[in-house]
Amino acid sequence: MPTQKGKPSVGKKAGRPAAAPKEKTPKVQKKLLIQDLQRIRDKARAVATIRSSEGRAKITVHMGTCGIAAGARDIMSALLEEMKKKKVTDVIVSTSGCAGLCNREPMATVAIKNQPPVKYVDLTAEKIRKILNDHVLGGQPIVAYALAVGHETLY
Amino acid sequence: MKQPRTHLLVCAGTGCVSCGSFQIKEALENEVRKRKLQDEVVVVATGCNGFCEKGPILLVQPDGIFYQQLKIEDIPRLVEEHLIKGRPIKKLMYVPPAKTTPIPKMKDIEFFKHQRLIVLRNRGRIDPENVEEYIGFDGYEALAKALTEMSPEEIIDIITASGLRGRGGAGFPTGKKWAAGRRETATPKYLICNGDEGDPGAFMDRSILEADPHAVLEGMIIGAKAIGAEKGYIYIRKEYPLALKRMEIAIRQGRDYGLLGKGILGTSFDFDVEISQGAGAFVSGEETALIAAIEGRIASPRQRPPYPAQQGLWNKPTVINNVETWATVPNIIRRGAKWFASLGTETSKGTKIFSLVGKINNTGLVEVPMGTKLRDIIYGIGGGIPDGRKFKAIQIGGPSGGCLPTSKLDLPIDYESLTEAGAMMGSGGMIVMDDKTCMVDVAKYFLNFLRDESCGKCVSCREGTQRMWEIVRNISEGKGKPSDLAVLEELAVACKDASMCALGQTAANPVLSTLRYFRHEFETHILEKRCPAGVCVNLIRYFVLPDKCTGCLACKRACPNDCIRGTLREVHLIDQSKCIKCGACQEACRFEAIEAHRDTAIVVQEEAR
Repeated sequence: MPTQKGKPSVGKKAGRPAAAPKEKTPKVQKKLLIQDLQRIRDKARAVATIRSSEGRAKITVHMGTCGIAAGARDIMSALLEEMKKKKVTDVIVSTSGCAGLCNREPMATVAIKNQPPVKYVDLTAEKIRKILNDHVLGGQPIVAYALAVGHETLY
Repeated sequence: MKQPRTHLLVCAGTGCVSCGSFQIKEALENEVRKRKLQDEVVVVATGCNGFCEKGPILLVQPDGIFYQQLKIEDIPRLVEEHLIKGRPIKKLMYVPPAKTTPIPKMKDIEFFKHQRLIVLRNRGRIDPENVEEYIGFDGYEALAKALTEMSPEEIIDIITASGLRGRGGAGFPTGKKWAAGRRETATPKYLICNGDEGDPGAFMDRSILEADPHAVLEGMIIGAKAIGAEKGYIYIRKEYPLALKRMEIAIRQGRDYGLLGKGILGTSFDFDVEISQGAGAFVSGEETALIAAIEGRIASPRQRPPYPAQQGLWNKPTVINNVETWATVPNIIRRGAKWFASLGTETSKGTKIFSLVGKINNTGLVEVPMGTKLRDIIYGIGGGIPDGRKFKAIQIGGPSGGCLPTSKLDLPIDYESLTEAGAMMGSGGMIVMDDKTCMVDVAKYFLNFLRDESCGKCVSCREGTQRMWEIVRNISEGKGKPSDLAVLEELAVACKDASMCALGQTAANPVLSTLRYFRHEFETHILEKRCPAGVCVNLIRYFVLPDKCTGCLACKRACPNDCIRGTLREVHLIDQSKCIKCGACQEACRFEAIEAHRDTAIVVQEEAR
């Protein structure tokens, strides 16, 4: 009897710490109040922009072989990091193939809604950050980095 | 830390899951990690996207690119080409029937272009297992409004003014039902969500539960405030495991987030729900039968009145609505009665979800405004009939509905027009049939279903469906008598008049509507003993067309009963004495050299059977 009695108590003791890490997410969800809904909605703004494919502006990083060789990946990373830092939630970032002007890569096109797109060339991480801040967020295109404004003529 | 730039939305509705979409999702996640894109690219499983025909489906946002019928092997290339190099892969895109150019964007595809999404607004867009995503897309905004700014009467007034009618089939005005529940003084009051979708070919409720369970919950909580209920039940059939799982998760999250339980959203309003699992019987969809099932009794209907709004669950006032109805409610509260009433027809407001199945190119789930013409659904959204065949009939409203012929293609769909035409809205199942369908066979199929599903309480239904089935079966076997049609019509009327619940009252619809529009087909079966569509096996005979047969042996190999004779490059022959009429030879033939012979009558011998 005593051994039997002892066993479960040992088991309990041993069981407790073992069971604790199992419930690893004891992060108790706070009950929401009416005003919390808006907070969650704001947090999800970036997700909503991407999923509904509707943004205030669209930045296309050209990712052809030439672009990647010239460092387009770093441009992309720098851009996304800067967007996270600045909490930009209404801008769409996209990729495209080679734009045809391989010696001026890395390139990116910034198209703000209802404005002609601007093509930027010879980019660096520093330049794309400045483009995001000045052009996309500030509304001032950076003429010094730009190749041209507007679309190519399509025949 | 990076801001994600692309979301890969993998459809995880039952249709796509059965095509392997979870494996696709896993492959995508692995590939994305391998390419070190996990900070930039998010992979999400969403609810049913609707275009079930083309599963597994992947939507790439923000590009709006629609990929379909994906295979695991496609994934590495897809990630490299599209996500790294920005070149969407044409080969994996949707190509419309009889066309060769792929359509890259989802919004340009005919199937999606003509739909108007209200109830299904979150389909293929949010992760149904994450309440924060639902909230992110205006979720629980209507609830906040209803709890803080509106009185129960105001909620009921808005629902009444919107003209919303029950989406389960009968089309009873929802506002009226809620008002009746509100008037009752007995407590506690209950709410029920009817998710016992029993019609063959209907899957809209399942899809809503899978794609947007929180919309259903939000509708129910709003309804609870309007009616004064404190407890709700969601009845889901056990055959819907994914819907059950997603709803369980939704309820758990709802409780964790304070959207269910005591003091919802910090107000003084309490409401909680519980899932009740059904074993799936057609009759349990009837409200009093469903209530009996929740109470733990056999699902069998009882006489009404008293209606459930007066005496429902445990004899307490109970408001019971269909899944789709509940999911519509938050949209009406959020956007107003006027907006909802501006959609649809005079008597039927808003949109309705239909499941489009059968002989149609684009099988799937569609949501369109009431009043849309059948033709637009079948040929516009549905993409027409496959293999260049001709449209023959469309079966609407499940077993209680009816078959409508070509002449009704321009019918604007609403509750009244369908009933008038001999079908019914039902839950919104649409089965399209081509000219290879025999209407006697269709009537037989539905009668067989109903005779199985009749609970047996009313003699008229229990015996009526059985006898009607026997008569139609005899007709399909070539044993029909000219007097049969009159007997069928008499039984149909008796079944309709003398049965207590909607199952029996509508059980004759498949017979009546096929008799109404396809009487000649019944007559051909009875008088000429032939089946024009070549379906009823006793009335057809397969034979080889000598001028078309190339002697390729394909049919011979396909025949399970070894009854085809012939050698290579010689015209084959079917031994009629051994033929079991399975049609395998016809399917195997690539030269259309085998026909189901049906131009002349075949005498069926009683003794032989």
